[in-house]
Amino acid sequence: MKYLKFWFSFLRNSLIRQLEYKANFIGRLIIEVFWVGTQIIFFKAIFLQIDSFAGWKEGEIYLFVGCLYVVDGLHVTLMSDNQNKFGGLIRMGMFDFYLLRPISSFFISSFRFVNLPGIVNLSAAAIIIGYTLNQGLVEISLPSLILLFFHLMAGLGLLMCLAVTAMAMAFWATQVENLNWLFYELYRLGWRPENLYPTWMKRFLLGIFPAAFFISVPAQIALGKLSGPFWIAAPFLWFVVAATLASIVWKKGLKRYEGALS
Amino acid sequence: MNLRSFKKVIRNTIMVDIEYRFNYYMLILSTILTLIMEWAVFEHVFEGRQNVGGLPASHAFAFVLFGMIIRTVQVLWGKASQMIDEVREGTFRRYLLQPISHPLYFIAQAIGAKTNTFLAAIVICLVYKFAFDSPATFLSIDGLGPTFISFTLSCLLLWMIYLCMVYASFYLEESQFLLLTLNISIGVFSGTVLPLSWLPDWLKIFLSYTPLPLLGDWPLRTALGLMPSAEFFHSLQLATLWTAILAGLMAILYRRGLKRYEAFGG
Repeated sequence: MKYLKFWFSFLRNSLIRQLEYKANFIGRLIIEVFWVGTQIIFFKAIFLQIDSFAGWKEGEIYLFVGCLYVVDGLHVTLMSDNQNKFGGLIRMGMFDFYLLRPISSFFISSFRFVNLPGIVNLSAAAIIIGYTLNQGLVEISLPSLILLFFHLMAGLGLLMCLAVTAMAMAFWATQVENLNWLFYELYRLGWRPENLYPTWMKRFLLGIFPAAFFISVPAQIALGKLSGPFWIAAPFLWFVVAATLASIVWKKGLKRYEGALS
Repeated sequence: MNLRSFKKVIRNTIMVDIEYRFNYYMLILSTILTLIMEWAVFEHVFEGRQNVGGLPASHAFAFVLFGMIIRTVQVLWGKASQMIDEVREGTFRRYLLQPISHPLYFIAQAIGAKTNTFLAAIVICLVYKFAFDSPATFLSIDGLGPTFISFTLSCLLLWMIYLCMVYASFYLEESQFLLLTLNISIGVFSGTVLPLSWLPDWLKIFLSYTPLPLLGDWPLRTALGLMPSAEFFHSLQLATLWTAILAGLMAILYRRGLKRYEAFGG
């Protein structure tokens, strides 16, 4: 409850900061719409040339895109700005100020800045998923839809834990901008269904860097392409593993950190 | 133009770039991941097809590879983003004390920052051309000149757009959103992620009124030998015109912006 109150304070503060530059804020909102449109146009362009794409029909792909914007929208809103800024905090010694605050350094480092325009992605996701279901492009039962929601939340949790692990590398490396970029590229591999990739990459995305569990596996379970207790439990299990890893790496990193300010 | 300062900025930027080798390795790794991701899409689209939307299957891999190389060598998002922040924070004043104007400094930094990437790209292209018998014509006597011209002009055009966006921040105070729009557009709408011929007709017509196809589609199709000479010269005229217009706009934005600019600090 205390942390929720803190988060709302962060939200209020971020809103004030972002509204300071109104043109930029409105521009960012428009960009988010543009960004969603770009992904839809990307797949539309492909489906203008072919009927089925790696076993996915057009409606199924739009459901996938909707799921993508649920996960990406929440990640962008809650965490991505903090992830990008963290390397600089460590390098410049500003992380000292976070350690002095009476709350968890992990929490404040991960959630201090809320990127409000990211919420547009969530609205877009609701519209895309709603349109796909309403037009009968895909058929999903209510229990499957509820399960999809929980799987996507597990996928988001998994993504955030992996992001924290990548972010915490700043405790060891001086320059982590391109490491963040690498993480982003790995994350982007999850923006396409994993059965699109060669077998070795598919294994990598299911077993080493589990980007397939962010969006693709939840969408496939909802569409009935994957079934069975293993697939239903797997996103939650991965989340637990990633959360444990993130916690260990963060604690070790904190021990290693030497304040740069005096 | 102070040529010595210009060369020194280029040399210094190359050295800084080499200093952060870890960053460079990460860049290579992430580029390979992008290549895998984009090729996976093409592989499925071309499954059992000889030609899709005007792109022959034999050119598909070359399209993905060169498309990615063009984007990687051209894009200077980080540098432009940093300069927009510097205008807002007041630290932009440091550029005003240098013995070289800011537009030239930016271009020198762009050349320096991209030199290593460009050299790596040439090695990849040579390996691809000779080891895999690539269909690309960029290394033939006929193809090398047009490819070099189109690629150089497309880089200059993009860097002019970046400069306009940096100088727009003198007026808007925060113009990161312009940069983000460009960054998103360069992917799908410049024709380096998907061939422009695959896009819906209404979008193709709209894009023809923008410089976006000149940034990607023009140099890429020229490198692949898929651009008829009449179309190449038409694009050359358009690219020259766009570069001149944007250079003029950039100069106006810069001069007037500097008069508005108020820095702080000592």
